[in-house]
Amino acid sequence: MATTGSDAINIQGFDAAIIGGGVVGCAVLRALTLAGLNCILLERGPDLLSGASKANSAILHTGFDTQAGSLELNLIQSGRAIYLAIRERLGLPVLETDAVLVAWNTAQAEKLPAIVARAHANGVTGVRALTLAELKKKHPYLSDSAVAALFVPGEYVIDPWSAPLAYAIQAIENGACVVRLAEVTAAVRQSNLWCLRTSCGEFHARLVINCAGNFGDSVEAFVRPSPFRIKPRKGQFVVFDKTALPAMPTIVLPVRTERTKGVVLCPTIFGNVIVGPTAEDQDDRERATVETGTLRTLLAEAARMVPALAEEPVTATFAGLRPATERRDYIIETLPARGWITVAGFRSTGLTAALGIAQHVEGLVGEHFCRLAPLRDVVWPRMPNLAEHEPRDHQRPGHGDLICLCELVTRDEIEAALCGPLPAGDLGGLKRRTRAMFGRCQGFNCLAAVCSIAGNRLLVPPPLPEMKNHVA
Amino acid sequence: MWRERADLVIVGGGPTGLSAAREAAKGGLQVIVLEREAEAGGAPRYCGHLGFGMWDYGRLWTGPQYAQRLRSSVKGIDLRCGHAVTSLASRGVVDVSGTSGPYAIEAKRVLIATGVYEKPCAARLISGSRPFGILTTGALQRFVYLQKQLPCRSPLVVGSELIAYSTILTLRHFGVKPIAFIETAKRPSFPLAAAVSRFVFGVPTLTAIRIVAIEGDKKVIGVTIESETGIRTLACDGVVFSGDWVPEATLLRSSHIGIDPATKGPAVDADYRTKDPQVFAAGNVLRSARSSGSCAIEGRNAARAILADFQRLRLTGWNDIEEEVKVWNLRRGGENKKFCLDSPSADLCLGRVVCSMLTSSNLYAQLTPVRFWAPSGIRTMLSSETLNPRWRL
Repeated sequence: MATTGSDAINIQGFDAAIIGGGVVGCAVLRALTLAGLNCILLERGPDLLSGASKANSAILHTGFDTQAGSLELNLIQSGRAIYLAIRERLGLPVLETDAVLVAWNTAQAEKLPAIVARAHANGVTGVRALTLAELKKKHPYLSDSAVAALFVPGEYVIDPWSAPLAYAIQAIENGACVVRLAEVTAAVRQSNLWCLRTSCGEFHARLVINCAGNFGDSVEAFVRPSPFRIKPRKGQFVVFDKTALPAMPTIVLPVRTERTKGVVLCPTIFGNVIVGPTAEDQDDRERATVETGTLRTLLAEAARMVPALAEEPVTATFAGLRPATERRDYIIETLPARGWITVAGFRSTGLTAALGIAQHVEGLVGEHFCRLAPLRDVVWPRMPNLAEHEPRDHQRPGHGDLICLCELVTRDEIEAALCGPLPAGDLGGLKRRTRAMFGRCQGFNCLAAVCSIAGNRLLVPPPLPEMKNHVA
Repeated sequence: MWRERADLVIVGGGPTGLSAAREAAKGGLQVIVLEREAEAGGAPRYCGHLGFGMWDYGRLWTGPQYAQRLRSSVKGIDLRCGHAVTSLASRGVVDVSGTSGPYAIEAKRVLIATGVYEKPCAARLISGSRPFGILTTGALQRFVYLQKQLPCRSPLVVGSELIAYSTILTLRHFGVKPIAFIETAKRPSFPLAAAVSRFVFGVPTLTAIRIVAIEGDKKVIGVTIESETGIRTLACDGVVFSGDWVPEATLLRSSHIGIDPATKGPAVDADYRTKDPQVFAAGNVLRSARSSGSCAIEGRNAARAILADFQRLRLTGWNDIEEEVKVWNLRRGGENKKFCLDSPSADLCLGRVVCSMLTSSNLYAQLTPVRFWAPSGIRTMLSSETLNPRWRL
């Protein structure tokens, strides 16, 4: 069974069931578990983070350009603060890159003073105008065609997968339950108890928290006609090789438009450089495809901003879907009589805000549903480090045996990802836990070896064909 | 930090590296070969078809047989498998991630023989989704020959170089074959192989084809292609990208040496020496793939050039690497003026410092006013100075 966490599924029912194992679901699971509730998380995919959370730009935002007074701003800032406060205990990295926001023409430059004013109103007081000489100093590789720029301190880069996995693992180690391959197909409320029918059996819970990301509105339909509609917004990214990193000392932000934050150029915690995302509305909630033409545009855009990138090889391309709604702000609603909390519409800031959202939900639960009794002896698991700027496994004495030769992943790391409280569910989950196969050769060297080590130990093994006629 | 020492460190234990190791050891050097995989032999290890060994052994072997022959030719040499070089610094220092932890070696000479890999789907900016079943020829061969596992039953192969047609031979071990080869050009790169594949194995080569997108969620279900006749989807359970080789030059790219933008590999002189006089590079890392035999011969020649270096050091009784590097850095530290020292090495023995660097027929260096050892003693040379006629500005 695809269950991890507390021994057996509680027949009596859980205090809370969280639907959706994305970054927000994981953070909510953690918060409610640490608040003393008996929680279960139901994820439809073979592993956590297999929906919207699998692709993002991995920036820990400050909220400097978020709508003033919005719930989003509030939760981005509290989420960020909590992350920075707990990250060391969970072994989570942060790369303190800061950012420069660059205007590439005079029309954009005219918008900068308003951005500074908003940032200061939002409490991000370090945001200030840079002279072009200062800009050159902050980012020596930036193209000379910049017209004006701002310095945005505090925009950092984090590990987008280890962080939510750490939340889930901490929850599990403190008694929570995570079930994968459990798509909720029906939800019925019977005498103050929700009965959730899934592809993996039935689960009972007093309270349901809808964290279903790109499926938020279809899950919402179990309780009421959904007051919002998820409109997935696709973002395509290009990843440059690690050799590009020296040319990217800091994040380069564009002047945002009405609709989106725009194309960002950003170092990653793994030592690469990424450019993206695009913002393309689509109806399909599962498939995010890349398009050659768009990728070329992104590459050209990157080379326009930082000319040195024109010579850098591409390591990977990917596309993700961010769950947008017709509203601009987050949607967090409580239905006290129905035992339901809706948490939806996070677009691209969910990674930063997740812990803030979780804290907010915890408050709502305490206010409307039950008295919380926070755990006394909280277990703090430590995540294996995947950040390039901190010692990796292969750099430790006595460790070696590399399997992935591009990302320098050892056999021990792969083994560790296949066991523990939340073992990898599929190859994608293994990639997110170890970085194996994420490198410049994209599996030329290690795919076969990884399949042979991990193959049958995954919840959903790689779809290798049946073997017949073997004469090799 | 304590560093191990060696005369020569060879990075990469494929045909180039092993041939160089054998040659260098024969010349009396203390050699360490660092191979990041569990077994040395390089790409031939998983090319189970005939065609290896002709250039350097005058025999016709399969890849694994050839790899075995290479391995047995370096018996007695310090060959370390599972040891990956993670960085390369000046003064011949390499950082290694070994089977039991990290360490560093300081070598008098380093030879980079890291080979190539095939450009994967992502770097080709192909449209579509990224399901399981997107491979390169190398990954397919590793599945079949090293893991004895079939990753897909009826793949579409992208490319029409010889390596593409080798997939027929690879998949034959499981009694399956590709559905087709596709090529963007109007003609296949190897028309003979295309004809054999068409008429002997019944696998067509479709030309003038552009990939529109890869289809499939969890597993590849097809590839949409565009040809002159329109757009259609070919059903298949895998896509194998073949050829389009990229030098595995990351080590150099992230070091002080860098790469040449034209070849994507390091620039070297006729002696396979990079711009760091202690570091050499040979084999496929220099450019896209050539046959293992010609790589082996390159490796051998690079080793001979390195041996000649040591020979000169012995003759002049001078072997302090630190001093040598200091002078070299001084020479490179300059700006503006470029000199080409255009002379065969033998008759340009200017003195003990310079000689170790003038081993090539063409050596480029950037000079500022710099002191040189010359037969008459130390002299200062200005960039504007009229040089010995053999030195051309």
